[in-house]
Amino acid sequence: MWKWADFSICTSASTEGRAVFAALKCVIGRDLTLAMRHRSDVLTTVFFFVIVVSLFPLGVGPEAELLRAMAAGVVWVAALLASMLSLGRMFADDYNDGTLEQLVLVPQPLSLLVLGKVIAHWVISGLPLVLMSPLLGLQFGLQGDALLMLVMTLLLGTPVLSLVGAIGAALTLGVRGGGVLVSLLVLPLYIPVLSSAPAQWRLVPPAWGRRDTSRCWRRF
Amino acid sequence: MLNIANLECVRGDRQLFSGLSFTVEEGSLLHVHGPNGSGKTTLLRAIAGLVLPEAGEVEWNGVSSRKLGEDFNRELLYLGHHYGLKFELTGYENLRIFAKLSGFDISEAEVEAALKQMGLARCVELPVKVLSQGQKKRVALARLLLQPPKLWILDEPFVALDVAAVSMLLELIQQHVADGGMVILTTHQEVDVEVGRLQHLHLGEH
Repeated sequence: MWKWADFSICTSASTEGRAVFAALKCVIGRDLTLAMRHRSDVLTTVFFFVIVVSLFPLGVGPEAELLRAMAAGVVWVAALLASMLSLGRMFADDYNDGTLEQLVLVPQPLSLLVLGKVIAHWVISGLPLVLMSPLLGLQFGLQGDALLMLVMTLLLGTPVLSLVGAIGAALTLGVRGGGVLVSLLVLPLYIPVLSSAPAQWRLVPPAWGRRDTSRCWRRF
Repeated sequence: MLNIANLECVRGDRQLFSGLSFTVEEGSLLHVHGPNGSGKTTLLRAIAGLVLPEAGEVEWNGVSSRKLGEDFNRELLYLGHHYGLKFELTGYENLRIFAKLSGFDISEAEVEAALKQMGLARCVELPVKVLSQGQKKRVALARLLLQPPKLWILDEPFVALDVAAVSMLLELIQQHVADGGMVILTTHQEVDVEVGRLQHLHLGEH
């Protein structure tokens, strides 16, 4: 008899798990569909990133060593600013049209729905930056494994930008001038990410772009 | 059974109401009356759990709705002033997302049938933003047709609807109440339905 009882508990837990996973998928799918219908928003973020990063080689001049040394920092700061740009839209649109309150009233864990929105935000505004970064790295004279390293640090770091940014976006929801406020709130919180990711990279010997990558990977 | 005990809500510095207690039982309709600014919407939002009341308790079958959390949300359908629709998505997509998130097990055909019943057969594939105000409202109201939860909280449901839609909505409400559901609504027009138990609550008169 207990076996049956046990079994029923297991199945109810797994169906619940499936329902929760379906809800997560649904929120992500919804936000991605919305982004695809508003492609200009996504492109704005990517172009902002590209332009900011491209300005540095033009401004600093063609000094290969200098550019190579600052590449990671520049790309990271640009990625940070670009992800700030899209933070305002994370909850604000849903708040304005009343879908956010409907999400709150859905019989699913709210934290999970927010996680879905954060994941979608990363796919929309973080992933394109990761994919663009090797191209931009080339402008700074990075090669081979150095480019790969840049992509890897961004791949690890940009989800953190979306996660931390969600806190700021949620806190400034419905506040006038929220765009500036969110920068003031979130940028200091980004500092640990900013200082750890390119710092990893800076430890690497300067000539690392071409050879001796093993040490770096160990550290990574 | 929904039980409201000593509910008090404030907006800014102003107290909207206090010591508000009433019970809504299965198969009954509560019509909330009151002039503009008397706190009707705030009351409905407090019951739904969207506004934290200053004092008091909202109880569902004797248990605090805050404690019930998702279990209370499962029993509840709240339609506010905002349509709660994504204007870039079609009516069909909006309803489908809502149904999925609510955990309803319904087929695509049922979603389409709900839209058709609301008189939106030709707008199924159109983004909501190109629909008129009344049609948007109809899309929002189509949610009532998808495996409806027990408690409906409707804030001004008749606004922007034409005569045919108003009578259809009244019929829906009547049917829901007859089936043992509960409806709480605010409206400035007369609710002309024959239901088992019709309660009236007047705000802003004390």
